[in-house]
Amino acid sequence: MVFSNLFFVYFFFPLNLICYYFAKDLKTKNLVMLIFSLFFYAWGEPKFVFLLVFESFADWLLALGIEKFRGTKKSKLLLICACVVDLGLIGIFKYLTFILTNLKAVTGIPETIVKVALPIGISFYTFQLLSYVIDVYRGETEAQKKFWHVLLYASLFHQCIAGPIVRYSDVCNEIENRKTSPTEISKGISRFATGLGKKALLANVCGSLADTVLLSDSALSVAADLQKNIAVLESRPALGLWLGMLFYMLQIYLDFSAYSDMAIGMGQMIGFHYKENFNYPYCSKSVGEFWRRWHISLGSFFRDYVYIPLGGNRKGPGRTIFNTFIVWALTGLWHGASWNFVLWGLYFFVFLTMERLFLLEKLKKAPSWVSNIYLLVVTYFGWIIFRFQNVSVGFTVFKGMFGLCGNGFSSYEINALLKNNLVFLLVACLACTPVMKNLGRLIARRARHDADTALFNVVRKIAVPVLLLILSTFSLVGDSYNPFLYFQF
Amino acid sequence: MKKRKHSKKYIKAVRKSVRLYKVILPCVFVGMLVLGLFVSTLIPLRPSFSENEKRELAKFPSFSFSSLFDGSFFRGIDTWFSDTFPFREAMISANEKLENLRGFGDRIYGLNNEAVNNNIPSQGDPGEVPTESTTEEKEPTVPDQLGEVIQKLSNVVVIGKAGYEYCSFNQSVADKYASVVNKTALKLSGKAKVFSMLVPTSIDITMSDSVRKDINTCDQKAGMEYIYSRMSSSVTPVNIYKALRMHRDEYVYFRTDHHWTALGAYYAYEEFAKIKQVKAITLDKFEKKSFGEFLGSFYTNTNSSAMKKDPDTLEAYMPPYKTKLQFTQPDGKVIDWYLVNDTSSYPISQKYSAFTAADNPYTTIENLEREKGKTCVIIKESFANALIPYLVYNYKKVFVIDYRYYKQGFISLAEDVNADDVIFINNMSAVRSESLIDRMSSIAV
Repeated sequence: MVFSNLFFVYFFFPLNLICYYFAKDLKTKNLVMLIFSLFFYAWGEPKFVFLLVFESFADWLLALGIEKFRGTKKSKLLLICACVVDLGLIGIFKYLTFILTNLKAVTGIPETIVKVALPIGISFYTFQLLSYVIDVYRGETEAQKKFWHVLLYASLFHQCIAGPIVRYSDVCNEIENRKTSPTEISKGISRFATGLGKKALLANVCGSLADTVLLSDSALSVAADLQKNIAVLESRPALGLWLGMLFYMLQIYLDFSAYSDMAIGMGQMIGFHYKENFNYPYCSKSVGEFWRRWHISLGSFFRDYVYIPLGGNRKGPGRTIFNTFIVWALTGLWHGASWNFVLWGLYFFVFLTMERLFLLEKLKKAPSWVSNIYLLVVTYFGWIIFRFQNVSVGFTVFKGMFGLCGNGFSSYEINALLKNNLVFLLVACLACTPVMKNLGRLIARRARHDADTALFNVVRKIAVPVLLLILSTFSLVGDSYNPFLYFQF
Repeated sequence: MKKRKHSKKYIKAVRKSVRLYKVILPCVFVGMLVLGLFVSTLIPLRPSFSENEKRELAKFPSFSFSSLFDGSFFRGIDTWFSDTFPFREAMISANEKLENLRGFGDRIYGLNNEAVNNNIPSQGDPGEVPTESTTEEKEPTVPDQLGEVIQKLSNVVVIGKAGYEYCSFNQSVADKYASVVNKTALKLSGKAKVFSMLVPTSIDITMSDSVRKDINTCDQKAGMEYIYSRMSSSVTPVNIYKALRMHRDEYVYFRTDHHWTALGAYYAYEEFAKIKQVKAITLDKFEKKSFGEFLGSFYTNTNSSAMKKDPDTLEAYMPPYKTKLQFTQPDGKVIDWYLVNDTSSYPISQKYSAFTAADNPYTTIENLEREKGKTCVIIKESFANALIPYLVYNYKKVFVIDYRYYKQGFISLAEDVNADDVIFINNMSAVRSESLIDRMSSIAV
C-alpha cells in the first residue's frame, strides 16, 4: 500500500486513527499501531511480512546478547552476526540477481539466474534495524527488552516502506512514553496534507509528463524493445528531452519528499517525532550541501556507520578520498541493484572530491545564484544517469539534448506540451523552494499584531489542508480514469 | 493587536478562533477522512459501470489462498476501491477542470511512441512479395483471437476542438497486408476481381499543413503508395487520397472521432466508381438527415472540454433504394436491420453505428431494386461501414466480412457466393497493426 492511494486515505488511515484514539492506554495504542503496520506491509507483500518479522526477531535477540556480553569478544561476534544476517538478507533479496548476472557476464556461470523478487521497503527497514544493533553495540542506546517494540519500530507503517530511515534512539522513548496535543495534531495534519497534495497534485503529474517524453520505466524495462526505444528517444526534439528531464527532476524530489512529509505528519499526529529528511535540497549551493539536505536520514546513516568508522577525514587526504569513494559507491548501490546507480553515486563522488580540493573555495567567492545554478546543473545531469538503467539509453538522451541525434530543437507537440503545462511547471518549481513556507511565516508573524491577519491566518491554516485533501482526492480518482484505451475500429 | 481600531468584541472573537484552530482543524480533517471511510463502505453508492468510459468498472476480487499470498487479492481490492469510488464521475470532471488550469494552448495526450518511419520506400517490386504459399498447405489453426484484435489509442493530439490520432508505418506489416491481398487475387484469378482501398486517417487529410508539418507522424500518402506498389497487377488499387484531399475543407472526418463522415465516404465511393468505370449514384438522390450530436472516441479518450462544448453532428444520407440487410451476431443469431439506421436516440458516443449495422462478423445486403446484378465481398473494419450504403447501389448482393470477428475463410466465401468483386477497405491505422493483419491473414483461405 502507498499513502497516495484512495484505499489508504479513506479506509486504512481513518480506521487506524479511530482505533488509535479509542485505545485506552499506550500499550493498547502501540498494539493497534503494530497490527495496522503488519497489515499495511502484508497488503503489498503478503509473503515477505514474515521476512520483516524474522529480521526484527533476529536483531532483537542479537541486540540483547550484545548488551549482555558488553565489553567481551562475544559482543563483537554477535554484532558481526547481526551484520551478516541483515546484509545477507538484503544481499539475497535485493542484489543476488544483479551479482549473478554480472558473474555470468564475466565467468559464464551460473547458467540460469534466479530472479529474486524485491520485498518492498527492505532497504529502509534493514537499515533501521542495522542502526539499532550498532547503536546498542556502541552503547548509545539500551537494548529493547520487548520484541514487539523492536518489531513496531521496524514495521511502523509511517516509515517502513519509503523512509525516513528513523534511528531507534530517536524514537525509543516515544515508543514507551509519548503525548499528543491538539497543536501537535494540527501540525501533523497540515504536514500530512502538504505531503498528500505534493504527491497527488504535483509529483504524479510531473511523473506522467516525464514518462510521456522519456518513456515509462515499464516500457524501458522491456529488453527486447531496446532498439525501438532508442529510436523513439532519438526522434524526440531536444527541447522535449530537456523538459522531460526537468519534469523528472521535479518528480523525484516532490515524490520522495512528499512521502517523508506524510510520514512525519502522521508521526506527529500520534506523538512520534521523526527527523526531517529533506530541507529544500535544490536550493543548495554545493554538492556537499545538497547531500546534507537531500534524503538526510540516508546520508547520515552512511556518515555514521560507514564513513566515520572507516576513519572519515582523520587519516589523511588520500584515505579521505578513498572513504568518500566507498560511501558514494554504496550510496549509489543502495538506490538500486544496477550499475547506473553506482555510476550515479560515483558521479557525485567526483564532484564532492573536486569541491573538497578546490571548488568549494571558488563557489564561496562566487555570487550565490552562480553556485546554486552549478548545483542544479550537476544534479540535473545526474538524474539522467539515475533515470535510465541502461546506460546507452541515458547516453542517447544526453546526446539528443544537444541535437546530436538529428532530432531538431522542438516540434509542434513539444511546444504544445510546454504550453499545456506552463503554469503547472511554475507551481512545481515553486514547491521545491521554501517560498510558501516563508509566506506562511510572514503571515503568522503579522498576525501577532493585527487582528484581521490573525483571522485570515486561522482560516488559511484550516482551509489549506482541507482544500489539499479535496483536490488530491479528485486527482486520485481522476488517475483511475481509464478511458477505453482499447477500442476497435 | 494595535494597527486598526477594532471593537473589543471582535478582537476577543479572533483570539478565540486562534485558540480554537487547533481543535477545528483535527475535527474537520479527521471528520472528512472518517466521512470518506463511511461513504466508501456504502457499497450501493459505488458505481459499477462508467458511462463516460464505456466500460465495466473493476469488480471486487474473488478470494483464493494463492491470490492472497501472491498479493493479487489485495491489489484487486485496491483497484476496485479506487475504480468504483463513490461519485467518481463528478470527481473526474472536477479533476478535468483542475487540469485545465495547468496551462493553455492545444492539448497533447501522449506523444507518438512509434519510431516514425518517414523513409518509406517509394517503390516496391511486386515480384519480391511472397504471394504466400499457393500450394494447398493446410495452415495450422490459431487460437481464437476475438477480443484481442484491439488497438491502443493513447496517442491523440487535440488541436482546438479537433482530435487526431498519430499514425506510423510498419513496413513488415504493410508487406504482410499486401501479400494477403495478393494471395486473394491469385486464388480468385479468373473468378473475381480484387480491389484494394486504403483509407487515410484524418491527421493527413484535415489537419492544417502548418501544424501537420511539425507533427511527428508518418506520411500516409507515401505509405499507401508503397503498399499499392507491393500489390500484384491483378489487384486494382483504389487510391482515394487525392479525392479526399480535394475535399478536405468539407466535413469529411469527424473531429471527436477517428472515423470519416458519410460525406468523406461518399467521395471515396465516387473514386471507386470512377476506377471501376461504373456509374456512381449522385449524392442529391439521397435524403440528408441529421442524427444529432456525436462525441466519439477522441472525446472519450481525452475528455476534452472544447469537444464537449462543440460536438460533431452525425449526418447520414438515406439510400433511395430498398434493401434487405441481415447481420449475424457473434453468437450466430441472424437479425434483420437497416442499411442506414436512425441513431438519434442512441447514446451520444454510439451514433456512428448508424451505418451498415455497425461491426458484425458477417453481414449480407441485398439491393431489392435490382432484378439481377453483380455480387461483391467486402473485407473491412469500421471505416467501410459509412461507405457500404453507396456501394450497394451498384450491386445486387453485398457480403460484408469484418475480418476481426469472422471465423471462416473469406476466399472460400467469395468462391461460394460467386463473387464478381472482392473489395478490401482498410484504414492506414489498421494496416500497421500486426495483430489485426495477422488475424486477416489467418482467415484468408
